[in-house]
Amino acid sequence: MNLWPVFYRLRDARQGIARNIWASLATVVLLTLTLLMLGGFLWLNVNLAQIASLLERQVHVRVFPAAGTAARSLLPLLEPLPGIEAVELLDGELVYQQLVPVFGLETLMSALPADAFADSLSVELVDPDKAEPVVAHIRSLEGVGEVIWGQGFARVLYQISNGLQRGGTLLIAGFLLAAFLMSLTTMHLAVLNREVEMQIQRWVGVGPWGIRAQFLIEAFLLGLFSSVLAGAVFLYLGEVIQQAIASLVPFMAGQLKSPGLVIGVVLLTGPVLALVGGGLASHRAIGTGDR
Amino acid sequence: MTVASGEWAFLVGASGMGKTTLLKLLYKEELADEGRVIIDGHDVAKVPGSRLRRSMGIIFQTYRLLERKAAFENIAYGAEVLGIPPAEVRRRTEEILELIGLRDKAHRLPSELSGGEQQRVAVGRALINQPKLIVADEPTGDLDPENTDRVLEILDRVHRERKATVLFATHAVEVVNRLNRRVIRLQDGRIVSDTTGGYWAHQEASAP
Repeated sequence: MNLWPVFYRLRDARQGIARNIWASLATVVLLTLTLLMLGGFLWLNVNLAQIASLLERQVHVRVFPAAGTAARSLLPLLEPLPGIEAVELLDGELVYQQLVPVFGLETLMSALPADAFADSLSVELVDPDKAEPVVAHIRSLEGVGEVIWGQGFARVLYQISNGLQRGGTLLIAGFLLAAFLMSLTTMHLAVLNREVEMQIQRWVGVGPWGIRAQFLIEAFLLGLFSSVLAGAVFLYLGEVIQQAIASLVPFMAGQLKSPGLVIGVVLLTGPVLALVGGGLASHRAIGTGDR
Repeated sequence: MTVASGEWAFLVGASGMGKTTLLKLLYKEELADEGRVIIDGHDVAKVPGSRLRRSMGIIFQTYRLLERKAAFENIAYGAEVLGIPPAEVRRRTEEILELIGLRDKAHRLPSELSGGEQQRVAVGRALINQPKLIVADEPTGDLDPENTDRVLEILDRVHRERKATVLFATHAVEVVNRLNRRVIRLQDGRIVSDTTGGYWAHQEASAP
């Protein structure tokens, strides 16, 4: 297989980028920023959905008694309610002790006094999908203070996630369009700069796709460079964020999704976007018909 | 009109008489409204343009050299874009530089060469792929008599040694009269005479 055409075109693409260095750099910067935003957006969304989904699967509801009410006194009120499987009394001191191995005694003591947690009740639901009416019922009981349930948080997270998806999608779409237009302009400049080369290639018998290959390779290189740059930054930042979360909230560390898939998307998006720009710019000048 | 393989034919006539259009039909820059153009037994309309041009060497009045590449690289570029391996490109380019008499100026940029030397580089680039048909459209139009002679010598040598067919469009009678070859005169897009031998008076070659 003759690989020399690829070698020559890679060389010409490198020379073309050097000749058009400022426009190429602007494309790489904009494309890298866009890909970083895209990656960050995807990763955040995936993790919000992941945490929300974990919370949604929680079958336990925590019930805190109102001031002046003993948690134990709520037990007989809750147990007979429909939709409740079991009720357990949680000793506040015991909860504190359970957190010691997670955060360490010293950190915990510096943050919270030993009596920080009041006694509460853990209510196990029969069906987590029907938590809302049960929670409403519990809230209406006399002596009940705060009621915390995972699905309530999950809803908030889903709302945030939906908001992010709407706003974020628009923002990312805008940046993707800008990056695409930038790569189109850069490649258009490259085509204009190489009008003579294109004519010579045509005279000696290079077909339209052969002539376009040079611009496609150049666009691919710009896209790949941006993607690798964004991927590397993302890999580094992802690691830093995961480590930070692991040290701050140890039990969340294992729950975050690895950025591997997102990096894959970023690596693919850059070259594809630049290739489309290069393809369109060269198509306008060269066409595809072998006349 | 038929031109035999290995023949040299001048296309003469004043500007606008159809010389360039006729050549463009050969290298498929334009398509014929009527009639057919056959090269080596193949109807030009049915052959992909790139395949057709691979067996041709096309030379123009304007040199169209790559300003950032030296003479050597300009000539080599014509072969590189067709994917010829570097060793073969080097061998062919050195041979061409010898032929056009620019071996000692191989590494000069076009801006460091005279107009005549630049045109010889353009001729070299057209010859790098060993074409069977050389299409030259007023290649000496911008050259002084000395450089005109050198370009004609180069093409004549390739014509004789490699049996290349040459179609040479010009409106300059003195160019036609340097070689005793077939002369086809065009007027208003039609062939008005087709003769071999003899010298042409200025009126005959270029007058409308």
